[in-house]
Amino acid sequence: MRLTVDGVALEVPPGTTVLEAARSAGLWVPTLCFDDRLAPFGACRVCLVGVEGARGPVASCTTHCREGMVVHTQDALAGRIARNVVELVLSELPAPPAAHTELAQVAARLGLDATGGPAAQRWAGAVHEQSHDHRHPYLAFQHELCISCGRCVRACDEVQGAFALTATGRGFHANVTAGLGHGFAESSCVSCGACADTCPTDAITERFLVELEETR
Amino acid sequence: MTRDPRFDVTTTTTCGYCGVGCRLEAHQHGGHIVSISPALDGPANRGHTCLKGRFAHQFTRSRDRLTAPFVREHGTLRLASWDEALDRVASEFQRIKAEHGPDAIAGLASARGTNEDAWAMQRVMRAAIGTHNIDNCSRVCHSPTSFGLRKSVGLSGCSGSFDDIEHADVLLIVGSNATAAHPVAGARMKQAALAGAKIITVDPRRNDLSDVGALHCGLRPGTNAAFLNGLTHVLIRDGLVDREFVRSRVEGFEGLADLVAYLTPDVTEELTGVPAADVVRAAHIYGEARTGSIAWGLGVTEQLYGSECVQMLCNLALLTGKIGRAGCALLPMRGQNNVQGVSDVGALPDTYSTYRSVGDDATARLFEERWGVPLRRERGLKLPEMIDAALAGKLKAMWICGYDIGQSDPDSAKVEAALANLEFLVVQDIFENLTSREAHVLLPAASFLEKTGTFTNAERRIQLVQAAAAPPGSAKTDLEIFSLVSERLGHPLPYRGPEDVMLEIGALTPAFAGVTYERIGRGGLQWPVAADGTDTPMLYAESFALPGGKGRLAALPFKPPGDEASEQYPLILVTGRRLEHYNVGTMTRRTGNLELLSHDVLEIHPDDAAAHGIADGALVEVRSRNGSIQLGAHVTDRIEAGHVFTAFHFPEVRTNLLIGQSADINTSCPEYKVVAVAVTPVAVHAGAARGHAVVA
Amino acid sequence: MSTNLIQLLTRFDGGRPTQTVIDVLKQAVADHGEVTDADRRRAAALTGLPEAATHGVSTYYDDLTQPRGRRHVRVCTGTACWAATGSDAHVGAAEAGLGVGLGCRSADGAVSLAETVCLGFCHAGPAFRDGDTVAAGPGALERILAGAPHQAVEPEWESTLDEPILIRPGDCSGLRHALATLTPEQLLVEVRGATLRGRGGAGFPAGQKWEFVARNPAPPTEKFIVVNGDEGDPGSYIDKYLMEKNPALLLEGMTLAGYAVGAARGFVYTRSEYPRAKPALDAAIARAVAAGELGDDILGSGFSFHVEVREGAGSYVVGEETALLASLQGLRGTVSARPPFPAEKGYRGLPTVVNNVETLCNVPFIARHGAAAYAAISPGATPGSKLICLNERFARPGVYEVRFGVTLRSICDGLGGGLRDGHTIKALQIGGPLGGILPGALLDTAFDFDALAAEGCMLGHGGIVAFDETTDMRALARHLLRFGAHESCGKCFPCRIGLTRAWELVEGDAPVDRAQLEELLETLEVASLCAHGGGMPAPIRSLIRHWPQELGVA
Repeated sequence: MRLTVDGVALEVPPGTTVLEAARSAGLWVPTLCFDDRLAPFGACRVCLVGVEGARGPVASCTTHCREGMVVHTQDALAGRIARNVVELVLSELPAPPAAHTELAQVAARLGLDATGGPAAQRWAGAVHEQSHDHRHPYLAFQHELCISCGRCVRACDEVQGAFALTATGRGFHANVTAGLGHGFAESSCVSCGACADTCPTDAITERFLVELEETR
Repeated sequence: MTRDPRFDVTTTTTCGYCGVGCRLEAHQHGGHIVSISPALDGPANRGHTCLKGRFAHQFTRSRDRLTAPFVREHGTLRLASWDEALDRVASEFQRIKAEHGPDAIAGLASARGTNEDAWAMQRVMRAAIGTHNIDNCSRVCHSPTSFGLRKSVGLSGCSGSFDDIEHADVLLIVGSNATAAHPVAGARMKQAALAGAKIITVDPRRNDLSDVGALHCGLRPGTNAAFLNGLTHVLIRDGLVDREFVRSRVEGFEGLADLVAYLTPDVTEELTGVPAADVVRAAHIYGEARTGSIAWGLGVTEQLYGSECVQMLCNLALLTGKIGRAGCALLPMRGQNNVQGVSDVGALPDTYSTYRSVGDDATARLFEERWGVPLRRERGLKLPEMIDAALAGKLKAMWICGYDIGQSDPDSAKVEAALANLEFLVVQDIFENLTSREAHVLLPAASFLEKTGTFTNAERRIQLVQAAAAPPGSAKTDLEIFSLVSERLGHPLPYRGPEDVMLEIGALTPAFAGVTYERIGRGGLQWPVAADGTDTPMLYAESFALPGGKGRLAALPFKPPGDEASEQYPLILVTGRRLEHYNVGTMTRRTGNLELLSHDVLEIHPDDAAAHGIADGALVEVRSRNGSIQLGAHVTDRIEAGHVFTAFHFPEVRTNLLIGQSADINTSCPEYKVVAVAVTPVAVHAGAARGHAVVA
Repeated sequence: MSTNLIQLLTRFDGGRPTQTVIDVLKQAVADHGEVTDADRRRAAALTGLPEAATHGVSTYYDDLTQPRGRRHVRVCTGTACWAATGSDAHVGAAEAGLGVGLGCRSADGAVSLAETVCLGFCHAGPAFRDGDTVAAGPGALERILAGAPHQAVEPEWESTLDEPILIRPGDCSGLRHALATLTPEQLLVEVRGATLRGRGGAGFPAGQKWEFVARNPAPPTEKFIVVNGDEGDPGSYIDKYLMEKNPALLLEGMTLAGYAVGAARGFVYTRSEYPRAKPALDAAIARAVAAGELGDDILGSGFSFHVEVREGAGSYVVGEETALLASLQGLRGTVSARPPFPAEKGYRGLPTVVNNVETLCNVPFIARHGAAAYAAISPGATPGSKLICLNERFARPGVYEVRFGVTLRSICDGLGGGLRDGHTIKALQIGGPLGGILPGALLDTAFDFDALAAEGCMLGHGGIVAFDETTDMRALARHLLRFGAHESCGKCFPCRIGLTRAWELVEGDAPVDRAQLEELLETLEVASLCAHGGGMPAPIRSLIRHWPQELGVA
């Protein structure tokens, strides 16, 4: 089917999402909960784009292309809202995300100050409580950095099939944990590290890299 | 994504653990690999990898890495310069060759090294030393696969790709514990099962894939042939044969049909222990599916008739036309990263690259012309023959690269004696090991993260390996070492680097004709690769690589395994791999994986445990006709009654002391999978749960 | 919703579960007051779900996260109970009286106090549940503290129609008629022609949903009818009335839906806050099966339809259809992005109709009398009738069946008799917490989808909560946003974080930066995944529009 993304005419197979179409055209659309390896989830709401005729911006990761669709990745409202969402995300962390993380990079690209400056202060309020688990030889939990994007849980489910991780709690208190909450080793974890690989904030990361950062 | 500021350099390379061939991004900081992540575009791993590929890289900076050569003096090894060590290697080889002829020297190439390393070594052995005494560890794992595939369909390799997993309606998995031994392929199979593919596991031991499968057939060890022929019986009996495919593309149907006529499901049940109804179900699930792939591991090959069982697996695909199209692959789960490639490029005693016989005059002349030396037409010694020849005093010298036969080969005590009997032993490795205890020269080599070249994975995919860090100390890559030795032996290798080696492979190997590093790129090339660079993800779409182009059904009878349970040895031991470790554990035991799994256990069924008075966690002695070991017991119903299971990752256990001389009739691949043993409790003492080797 | 987890469930139970993880964990809480690791492991072993997933479930639902003592008291924090005093004073009083904090259990395990939203006793709040007794209204707490609670009176119900559609006993006449005279296709045509709009809040035409499912491939693909009985809107007790007092009508409607789309199985998802709904439905099912009106070969027609009832565990968002399906299968009740829609991938990944209770209760009438008769009920307005319910502030609270298009004034003053004790209507919240708030001055607005939308309100599910003249609108904003934040499922970022931030903005008494609040509301509206985050701004926008001073945004 044919559609237009930012004025570029594209032909895509049925079932292609708007995000896939935009990326295939070399266009950047911000995402936080998306990972190519996983089924679209539609949680972060940062991948908003404008679609002519739609009631408002749509999440490009879960919107399928339709014949004749006209998509604007630079839609002003979509961009503003996506920026607001990322700003909210920054506000839930007790400390700014490390520069190498996907969150920090998306924030920077959206022109947000992710270093704990005024952007974070605009939404002064509750932040996640610090809680670390370094019991696994390789994997480290830093729960306060979790933004509930579900990527780790889905990687464990959809890629490895170990089902060792779960989302916990709800609302602002949502987080992730392994097994019954007693660390990776007590769960069905097979230590593949797909969770750490996909995590956009280092809420799950490699212990060795945490230690390396600490020694700097 | 922008470059990660935590790392100085990131290098894309190929994993050096199992044969899946995950593409990896190795991140370096301060000269060391500090992290590894999966390459998102890796064809086999598609952005995933396992705890070995991702995390088990600490061994590269382990303090006990070999960083300088050693030579034996007055009975002990001492540090030496490269010149001294290499001179000693060259002079000893020359002396022995002069005194006893070139066939008194043998080499073992590493299935862990690159294609280029293996090529260089076989050239040194063949051209510089003048012997075909070169083999590699596929001898003890998948040589029966190579044999069987060549007999039935023509080429020694997977008929398709890992991508066929997602296109298969049914996956028949025989003697393979993929989620442990080939975790990324196993994960793909598990996802395929959850997405609707029907998995049939055939194994004495339940595994993760059995848990998500449609059917598990828990057969008695050593009875694969009866089971596979029994399936064939049902396929024929119940009209599940693709008649048109058989008519036009296959030969040997009548003979096979006659042979399996007696193997009714009831007879099959009697022989294998698999309920007759399950035999029928398995045949129908596989036979009725639109597409189906067959994966197998060492549970098929490491048996007395392993190579014949591979042919029987091929029979199933040929009978049902499940080959040569998407979703229909014959998929051998190759154990080591480059066991496919090292054999492909001819580190074998009987063949040059791509399995062309050393006795074939036309092929030999090609090599003679290129290398400028005469080459013998008689084959060299296979690895078990080398051991025998060493014990007999006929083989005087060995050059063993990246292969700890002291721990991994069967009948460890015999191997030890053979090594001790050598006049001269060169061990080229990244660590000292059980083999190097007898070495006269010890050469420090580079690990897979420290070298450049190519590996070929289990789907025939040649992939680039790029050095992500420098070797420690003065350690050198295998290719460098082979070049230095060859030069000293008067046969300088004309390679400026690994790519020159690949170009030579291509020049002498039609199936590699179009292989260049540029064409390999990030996606790899699946051989055969035409001169224009076109590769072959799928074999046999039109015809089989056999004279006449037809696939060959093999009518091979079931014969009992080499070892059987008896009153004295009432249980059958099966050995295999665990997720956390890799083979003899040289690498993984030097990483955090040891924290995840610190010791081996003997898995035993609750009924057997009760019968032999064994409690969960108790220390037991395992005794075979060949030797005995001690380790802790783990009582579990994952294994069928009558069998016990352990791995071989820990030198302190030395499981392979138990393994005898029984081996595949065609390829001499040892029968690791069927060993009659007695298991008895050991009086409790401190440290009971840990393993102990009892060296006779 | 993880397709793999659903696969694991189906592999384990063959699509015929006897219990879900939620059932197992709820039983554990009933047995020993809390969910332990042993319970989670047992739930995994009994259902085929991985242990981690059972852990995720156990931390999601109110009933599973709040510990229970030997005596367990629940206090309703719904909007009607709040409106009764214009505050949460009853919550504080319960905490003080029982000597235990909200969501806590006394150290000796004797007593526990849990929050619940809402008990559906909106006609008589504030409401409490002490064990199995719901006590409500003035003096209820005192009687509980004295150890002598008595069951609150049930609400009145009344139809304004000559021939009621909904407030009438289910008599199976529609089903008899349809099975005797209509093919499934013909029934589908009638329901489509009737333009039966969903009564759960979104107003999506039920016939259209049915058609998607009916068009999905025939057997062997199983199809399902799922009844959304999770009437979570604080201030609504309409479905509660239908499920508890007229379950036969619902079962008849479900069976007709099954007949029309080719489904042989249906589920009613009820709320644990309505403990009498499941027993009432189970009894009605038994009666219907005994009468040959449900089960195999219904009324000799050859059509079979089986119904099971499942009860939730405390979550507002579970009323959203994808979350409901997740919860029905024992999973965390979080929302999933659509597509796929339930019509394509619903219960166990199979085609599923999800309809609200009241929606289906309309179907027997349509089946019996046809689309034209149905459309004639509310001339010039949405076809059919609507149940509304009025809260305790009214002189005559209760459930009423009305025609679409009548004015709010006729409902409030006519049916409700105005407010009690001489109070006046300061504002109405219509259609639940996601509905806008209408000033008392606008009571001449017609009660219908479009007319209410024009005032920034919605018809929603039809619950009407009146706030009297003493109400502090800043406090109301606090109450609503606290609810919104507490009930956010946590899946989409704007809602998960944004509702907490919005609540924080109004929590104290400090002036609120109007631009910042509106920007936040816009973000919630534009970006939220479901109607929870998308709808919570509506009442806040009403407050900004009509009471800016009180709200502190001026």
